[in-house]
Amino acid sequence: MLQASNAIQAILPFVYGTLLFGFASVFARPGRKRTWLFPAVLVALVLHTGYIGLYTVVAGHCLLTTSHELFSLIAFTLLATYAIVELRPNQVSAGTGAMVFLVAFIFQLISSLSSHSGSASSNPIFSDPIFNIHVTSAVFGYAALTLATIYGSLYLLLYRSMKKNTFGPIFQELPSLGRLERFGIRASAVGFVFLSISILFGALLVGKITPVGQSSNYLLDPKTIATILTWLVFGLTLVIRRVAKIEGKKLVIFWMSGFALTLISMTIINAFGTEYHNFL
Amino acid sequence: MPSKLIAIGLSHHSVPVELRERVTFSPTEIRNVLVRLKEAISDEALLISTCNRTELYVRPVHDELSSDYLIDFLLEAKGLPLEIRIELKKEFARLSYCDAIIHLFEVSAGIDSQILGDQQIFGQIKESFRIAEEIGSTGTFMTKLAHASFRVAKRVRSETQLTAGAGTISYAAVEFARKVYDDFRNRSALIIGAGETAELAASYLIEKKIGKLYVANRTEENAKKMLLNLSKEGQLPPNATLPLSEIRSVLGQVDIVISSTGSDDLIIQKSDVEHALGIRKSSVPLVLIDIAVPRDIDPEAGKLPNVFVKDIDDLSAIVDQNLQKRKAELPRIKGIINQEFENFLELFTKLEVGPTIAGLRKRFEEIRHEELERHRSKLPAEQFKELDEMTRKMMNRLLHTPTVMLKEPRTTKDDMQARIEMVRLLFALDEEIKSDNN
Repeated sequence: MLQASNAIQAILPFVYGTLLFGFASVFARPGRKRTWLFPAVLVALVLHTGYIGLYTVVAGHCLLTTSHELFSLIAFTLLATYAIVELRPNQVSAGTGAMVFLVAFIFQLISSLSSHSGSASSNPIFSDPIFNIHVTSAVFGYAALTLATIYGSLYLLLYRSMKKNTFGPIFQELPSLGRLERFGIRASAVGFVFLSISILFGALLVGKITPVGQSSNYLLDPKTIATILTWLVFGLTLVIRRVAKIEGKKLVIFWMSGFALTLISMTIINAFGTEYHNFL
Repeated sequence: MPSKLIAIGLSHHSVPVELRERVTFSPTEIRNVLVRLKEAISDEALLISTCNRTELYVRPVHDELSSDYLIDFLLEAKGLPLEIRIELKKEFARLSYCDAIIHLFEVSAGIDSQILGDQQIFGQIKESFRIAEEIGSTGTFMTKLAHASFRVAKRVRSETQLTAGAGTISYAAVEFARKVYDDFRNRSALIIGAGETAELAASYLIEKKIGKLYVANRTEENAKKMLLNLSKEGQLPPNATLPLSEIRSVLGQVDIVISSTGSDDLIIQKSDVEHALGIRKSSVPLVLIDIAVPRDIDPEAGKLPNVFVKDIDDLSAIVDQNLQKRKAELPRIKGIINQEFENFLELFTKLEVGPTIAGLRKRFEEIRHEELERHRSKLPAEQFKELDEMTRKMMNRLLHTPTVMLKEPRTTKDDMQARIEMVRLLFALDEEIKSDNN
């Protein structure tokens, strides 16, 4: 079982690389055959799910104790969220796929290359199911929100090229502004749901965990604050679209600012450290 | 049993529209021509008539039937004056067999159209075939030919990028709007003008299921006429007409505006757009497309946020880019046409070769039988039996080579046809059929 897990881990970068190459080549030359892209994504999804399953059985915990595990989980969550949000047999968009798989490929490549560099922590919290759900859903949430940001960036890129009369591959191959906005909204919704689950299960862990820093005020923990802020921005995105009828570029800029907020807050957290979310 | 196919026709390649329109046939006229053709020469025939071409494909029963006869037949059916007929006759293209088949495939694929990749022709060929079928002018050959041409069109659409992107300004206008809103069902559009271009753009919007359609025109009556014309093509969405003076009042309610008037002055000013943005209920982009020369929409409006203003030059850039891409697909399309042509001939070979081989065997068997009968009384029964056996074997051996030759794959386009015709001529198989019929 360990051998099978290692073999899939070695194959995964090639799988993501193939997806990246496939989507990018169709994006560059729209005339190319694209019928194989949809089944290829499904194959990758099955393969990576199998790897996570095998790894969990072998290691006794989910992919979250070392950076190589976490990076592979991020690649998987990007793939899975992309499949949920966008993937339809006859509507494979090479432009968005190329962007998503570029990010996923980088994460999986780093994960596979650094698979032997870190050692798993012995902290018993890693085998706690609530903790596993909390972290996995957080990763899913952030991956979905990253995807929403990719859609937002592509929206702004297409908007700009249409304004400037640049009718190249971006105009030709990206989905319409309306569809990019819809995908972004869907990704935000998926992200919002997963972050909600993560926050909920995180709250259930209070009192159960023994963080390294022995901090007891989890609400003042920078990672908690950043996550709640991000969760609020994306939740607000869904609300203002429905209630205030804000759509189009304004809405995209709003959720993009959510991503910027996440990025900035995460940078600050990493700079100043977080006690409550340190288990290693 | 001649295997020829004759095609005659006029198209935008050779004749200007003022002459082409004189030989355009309505569906009723097509029916009449096919019925008369059937009565006169009892053939399989297909008549395709569009604004860009009139082409007649005939599979004659008699070898004597010429292209000239068919051209005269067609021009007479149209009842044109003699001098026009003489002038037009010179312009007709005349194609036979392989060239005619390939030409039909090219037309069906859309690579012979005025706008490369225009797919309207495919529907028109289908309709022509339906009429011919209804009249009873389609036999096995024409049916298989028509189906092969449909297959070519379908393959070209699915395997190449010939139909990708817009090929005309009106279509490019709608395609640009579709790059903003992929789903038109919840969107409303305003068409300004009631001319041909405006009508074409409106028909594309209707085809893409626009939710609501307003038509504004200086003479509101013409806007109503345009909607009436469009209603003949299909069901209209909820719609309304208005005079140009009331455009400002609906500008805030629409998502797409396509303007194509002959006005010398601007119809939509930047201030009108600013006003519209102020009263719009949602913040989705406003698409203003100006396909008029001189322009109808103030280009300064394009500087406003969330507003796209595109004029005829902007759209021409899209069309030119698409046409370049379409041209690049031509080698692949020709490859598909050649493949389908080969397949068709192979199928046709089976259809043609079977009766020829059967006829050949029948002819030989008749001669053998005649000669045997002449000797039956002169020979004892046992020797006669041996002679019968020997001549049968001899006949089979003699026929083996021509049979194999007829069945084996062709080496050139006309090779198979030449072989069949040679065998039929050498052994007078068609004479046999005629005498059998008599």
